[in-house]
Amino acid sequence: MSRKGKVLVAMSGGIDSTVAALMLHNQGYEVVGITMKTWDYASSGSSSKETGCCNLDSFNDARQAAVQNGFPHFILDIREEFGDFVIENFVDEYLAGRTPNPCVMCNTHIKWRALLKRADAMNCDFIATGHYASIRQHNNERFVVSKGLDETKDQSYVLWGLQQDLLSRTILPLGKYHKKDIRQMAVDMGYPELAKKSESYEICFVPDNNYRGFLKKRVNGLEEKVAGGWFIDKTGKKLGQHKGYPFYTVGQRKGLEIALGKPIYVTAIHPENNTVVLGEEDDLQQNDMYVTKMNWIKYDGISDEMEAIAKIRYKDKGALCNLYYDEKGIRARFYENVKSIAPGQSAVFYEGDDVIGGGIIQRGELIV
Amino acid sequence: MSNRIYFDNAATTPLDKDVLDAMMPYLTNHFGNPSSIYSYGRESRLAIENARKKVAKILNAHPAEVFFTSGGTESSNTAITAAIRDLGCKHIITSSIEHHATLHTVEYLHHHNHIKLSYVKILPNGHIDLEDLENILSVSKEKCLVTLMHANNEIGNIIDIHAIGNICKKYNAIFHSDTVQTVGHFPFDLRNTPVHFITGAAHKFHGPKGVGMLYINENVKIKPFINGGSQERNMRAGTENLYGIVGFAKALEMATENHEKESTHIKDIKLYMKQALEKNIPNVSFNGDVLGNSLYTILNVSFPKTEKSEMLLFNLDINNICASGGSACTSGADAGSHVIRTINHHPNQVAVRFSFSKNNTKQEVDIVIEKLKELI
Repeated sequence: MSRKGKVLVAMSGGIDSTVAALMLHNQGYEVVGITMKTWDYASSGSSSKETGCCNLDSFNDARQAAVQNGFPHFILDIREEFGDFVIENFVDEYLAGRTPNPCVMCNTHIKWRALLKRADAMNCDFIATGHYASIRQHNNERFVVSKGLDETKDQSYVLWGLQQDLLSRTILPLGKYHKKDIRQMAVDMGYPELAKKSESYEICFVPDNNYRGFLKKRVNGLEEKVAGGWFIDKTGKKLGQHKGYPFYTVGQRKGLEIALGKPIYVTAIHPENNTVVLGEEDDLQQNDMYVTKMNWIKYDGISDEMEAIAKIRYKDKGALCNLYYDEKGIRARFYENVKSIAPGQSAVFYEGDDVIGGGIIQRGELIV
Repeated sequence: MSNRIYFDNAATTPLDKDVLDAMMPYLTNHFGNPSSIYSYGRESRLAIENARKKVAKILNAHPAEVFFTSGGTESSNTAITAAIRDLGCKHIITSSIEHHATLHTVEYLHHHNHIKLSYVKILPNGHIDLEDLENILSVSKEKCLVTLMHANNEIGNIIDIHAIGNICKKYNAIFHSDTVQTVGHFPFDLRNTPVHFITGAAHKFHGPKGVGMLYINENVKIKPFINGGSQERNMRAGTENLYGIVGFAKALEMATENHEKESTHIKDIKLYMKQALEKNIPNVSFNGDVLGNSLYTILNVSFPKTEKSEMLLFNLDINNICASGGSACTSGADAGSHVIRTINHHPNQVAVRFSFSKNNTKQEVDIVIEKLKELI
């Protein structure tokens, strides 16, 4: 039995989780690798292109690292656990005119719980992943997620939903490194081909990145049902016909197939009457948002109000805001206007590099 | 990793040193193509035909009835497909607990060639309902192929190959039996067995992987499954797996010579483990006809399902114990077993197959029982 403990490492077969597993192995942890099969392209109605994490090559790459380094590796079929919740939520959100983060949903509700359940069944003390973020215990005893050292790769945004019992058992070995260090480590550890493997940013069950195609295949008759709705301006004037409200997202500029002689954007989506509101860049500017489903991380809540940096999408740099309660729940008032607050996306609040907590954006407003 | 305990001998067995020694000359000096006319070729050809004679003699068949293939799956594919294509069968009768090599082949023929497909009833102890088989045969208006495995690879149940063969004979049906788990573990007397096709795989009895055999009774004439050269008496084209065939015959020879001693030893281990499980693990149960008509190498156990026992196979592996859930062909990503689903309707159980060889010991059983006590 190793002195450091036993850790179940989620291995996708990609460079990050492989290096994470090997790092822990080299540090003296007793590593058990696990690759979770979340999605079956053959039965999904999705594209057959297997670029995501659930393909045979990835299973083999993960297994190879385990066998060569002398630790066990298993493939775990969690399609049932994954399928209903994450995919139905994804579809429902688009049908509600919102823009979901399925990876956040999966981490929060499926992936970590699935891992921890298996970790318990295999007497593992910890679970670990290859996310670029860190976890430490703060002086208030709470376990805090903070940004990865490599700002360009930071993944703390997708971890806001993890509750304390999950965080207390999680190790994120990559948080203290830059991607280039990890690439070098992969080479040094004897896996130069991993460093060359292209990275996958797409959603695992939409490997071709065509979420519109996925929705059409997934929801019978959707296209016919929503085709021919109207693009309108903010006064309600009809500007032209669109392909159906679920196929647009707030802030979208490309692919609108309508020419108004100036750059135009989707500013709002109204599923109840299948209309999509278009406007100019200025119309996307808002300064307040209402957030639900909050999960508090660094503190167990805020007493009254608190200054924070809010990220409203994955690659957002973040903007200063004041976090406060009103009668409906948590709101964030930005000091300066921000662009494209998209309902359904995650809002994650930071104090410095630490995640205070996060939630789901209900709506943005412009309060003057 | 030499402290591993290998209890998955129905999946495959380690190659015997003597078998490897018999093969080595054909991996080195005797490299000739068996179809070549010069000395190298003759030497190789001789090795193959001697292997065929040896296998035929052991099974009490004629050498012309023995064909070497790449393994059990190819053999079953060949037999089943040929029965439809060349022997006029239009109705396949099988069971839902066959190996996938059979099931997926008959499903394919059912879907693509519009062959009628019937599944014979399985009794709660995992045996074939012979009355049901006879009923299906008696009402069928077509010529039938009956394909039923000799020993089930997951639960070990053995069919009465003579009784089923005689029923088939009565209704003029073709009878194929997947005997992959029994060739090398069970004495055959094919001249006195009413069967048209049986199959074998060397790696199930300490021979090499990638070589198998198909017995085709001399009274049935089928066309080649793989077209090309005239190897294997025109039945299976392609340069022969020379060292594999030599290994097949040597392994079968050794298994036959030592059958009595080894089967007694293995059966002893199986019963010892069954008793130790009953004594030490609460609510354990066994799948199949464990003490009845059952292969001595296989013990299929159901443990009560808990969060921990669901990961039992993984935990056994972490503790250097090798066992399997379904057949090896399905256990890559744990999908459960179609055999266990058929015979046992307890969703609150986790089935594990332990299967033994001559190399196993009771001491190993003791170690596994101790680990199981911790892991359940």
